[in-house]
Amino acid sequence: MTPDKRDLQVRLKREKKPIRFAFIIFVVLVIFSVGQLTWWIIFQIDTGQKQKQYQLDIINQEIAYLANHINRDFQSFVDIASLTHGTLAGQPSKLKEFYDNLLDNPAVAGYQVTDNEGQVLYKGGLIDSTFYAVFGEQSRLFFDKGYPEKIIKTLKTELFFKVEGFNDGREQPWVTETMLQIPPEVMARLERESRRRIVMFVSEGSFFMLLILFGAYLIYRTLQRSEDLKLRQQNFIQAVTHEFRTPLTSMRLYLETLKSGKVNPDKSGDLYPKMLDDCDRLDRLVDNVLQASLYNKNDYRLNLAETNLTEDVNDYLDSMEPLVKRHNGDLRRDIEPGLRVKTDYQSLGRAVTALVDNALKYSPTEKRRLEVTLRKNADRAELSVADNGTGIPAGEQDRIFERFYRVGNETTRSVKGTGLGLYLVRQIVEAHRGEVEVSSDGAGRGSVFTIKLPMVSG
Amino acid sequence: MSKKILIVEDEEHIADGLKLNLEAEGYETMVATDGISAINLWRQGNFDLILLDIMLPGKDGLEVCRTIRKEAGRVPVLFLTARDREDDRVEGFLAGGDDYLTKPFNLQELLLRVAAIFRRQVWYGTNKLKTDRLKFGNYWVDFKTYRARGVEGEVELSQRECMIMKFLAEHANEVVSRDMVLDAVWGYDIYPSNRTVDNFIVKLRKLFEPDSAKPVYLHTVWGTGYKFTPAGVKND
Repeated sequence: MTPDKRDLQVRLKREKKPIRFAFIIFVVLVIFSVGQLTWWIIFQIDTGQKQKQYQLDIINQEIAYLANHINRDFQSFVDIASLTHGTLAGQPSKLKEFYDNLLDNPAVAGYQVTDNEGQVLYKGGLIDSTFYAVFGEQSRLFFDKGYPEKIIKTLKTELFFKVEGFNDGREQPWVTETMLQIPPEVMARLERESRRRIVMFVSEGSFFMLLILFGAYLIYRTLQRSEDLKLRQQNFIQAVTHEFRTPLTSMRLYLETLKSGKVNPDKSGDLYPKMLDDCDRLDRLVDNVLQASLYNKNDYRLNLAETNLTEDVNDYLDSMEPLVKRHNGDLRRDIEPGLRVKTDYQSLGRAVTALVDNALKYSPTEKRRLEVTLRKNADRAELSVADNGTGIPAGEQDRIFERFYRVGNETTRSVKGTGLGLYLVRQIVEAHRGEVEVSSDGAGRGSVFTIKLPMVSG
Repeated sequence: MSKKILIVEDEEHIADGLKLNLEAEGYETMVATDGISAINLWRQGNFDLILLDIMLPGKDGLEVCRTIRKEAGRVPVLFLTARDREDDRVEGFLAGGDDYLTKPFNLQELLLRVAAIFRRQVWYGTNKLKTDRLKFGNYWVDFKTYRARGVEGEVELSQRECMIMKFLAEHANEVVSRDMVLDAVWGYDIYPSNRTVDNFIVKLRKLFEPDSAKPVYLHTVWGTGYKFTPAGVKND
């Protein structure tokens, strides 16, 4: 690689730097957010599993309590019964009857709520009478200190347990933990809750993740656009400076030539019209820059009047002929007569001139062929300017109408211009409620610009 | 015999003005309006100087200059362009330009620079060193053939680079100021740009210093200028 190329690349790299920096920040942010979110989802799923396990643990604990309490109640009942009646016969089966009654029909038989210590918190339903019905006078012994605990409903989990069975007779314990089963519908509910939680967090998480990615993309795009515009404005300043300097250079050169007095007086007479030419060129340039700023502020009012577009277009083209000649160009016209359109004569003239000017600028130096066509298409007048020039790559066709946009790279550009011409064309045409389009078969194959204006009906 | 100048300028008015003035000074001129025809004209004609614009249709001025240098053309090239950033100047010199003048320019200055370029060519023809080949370390510069052996082997030098090396060799082991170099090699008495000399020294260091950050032949003397030590001196 030659040193000059390397230097150029370094410079291009430097110009690209701010946007690259922003890009890296965004990638880091997005990765961070997505990572956080993924972690959160995993955490939530894990929490769901743990909660399910926790509930199961509590239930199992309750079962253990329950079994324990029932056994204790049985024992104390047996003890009391033997004290008062001196016999155990038939009593456990009565207790079983009592439990069966409660469990089979809690709403009717009644229920009670106890805490883990076995203290009665609430008695409900017909529990007292159920107990009395089963145990008769013996039941009085229990009325003051409460009934056997946790037989129906536990406080913490609010679950009902079905007591599967009792060991009859004197076998202890009367109730084992395996006899108290977690009801299948409770298991199903726990499973369902856990699954719902997972589905909720996965879908919520993905939604937020998409939202973050979309937001990041939007911000990145905005940044890139503003960076792009900044670069284009810099390029514009560079380009417009160049455009201003050219006529200035020429005028200065001529003035100094005249001042030095070294040049043949016969020839020096030719210099004045050329200087006037340069003045005009400067004037046009100032006008363009000014127009662009006016259109940009949206406070530009067109002076619309119905006119014969055919005649106007011929006028515009006539005034361009000298320029076309100077560029060795060949301008062919195919103009349909009598098209009536509402236009602002000066503004539309500026747009047509800009298109012809562009066609000349971007055509081969040897033989420039331009073709201007005006014809009626449905209710619109279509004016197209075709050239055999460099054409426009497909990717840039939408962008060339943007302000300051110029095809290619400023540092290696060989065609002069400010990037305002086509922007003005579009602004002017749209102010006429028309459209401007470009088509090109690609680089090196020419391009066709078409202005479409609504015709005056009738 | 009058000197022949090729004007490469796509702006008709500027080209006309340049032609008019240079002819009034007694030079012979030809005008090319784009890069490709500039190269074609240069191949045919025997020019003593090229005034080269940068933004040109077809092939830009930098590319034209590179092409000429690649084809071993040693004709002095004066860039005349509206691009006035420091980067643009450096690029101009790296492409092989000898001088760089920005638009709008002062006519008097342009004519003086053109005259100076020709005057320097006369100085370059004289021989104080008594040899056409300057040798230092493993390297050499041949002032007649414009060839040199540098860090990357044999290379072609531009006339301006040869002139600077010749001037430095004539003042070997002495401190020379940037103004002295400008005066001898460019011959200005107006608007000297010291950075121009610096740009050339940077390029010469790339050619002759294995490590251009730690030069042993082409030293910068802070606040004063440069010193050429053919024997090679390490210096911190």
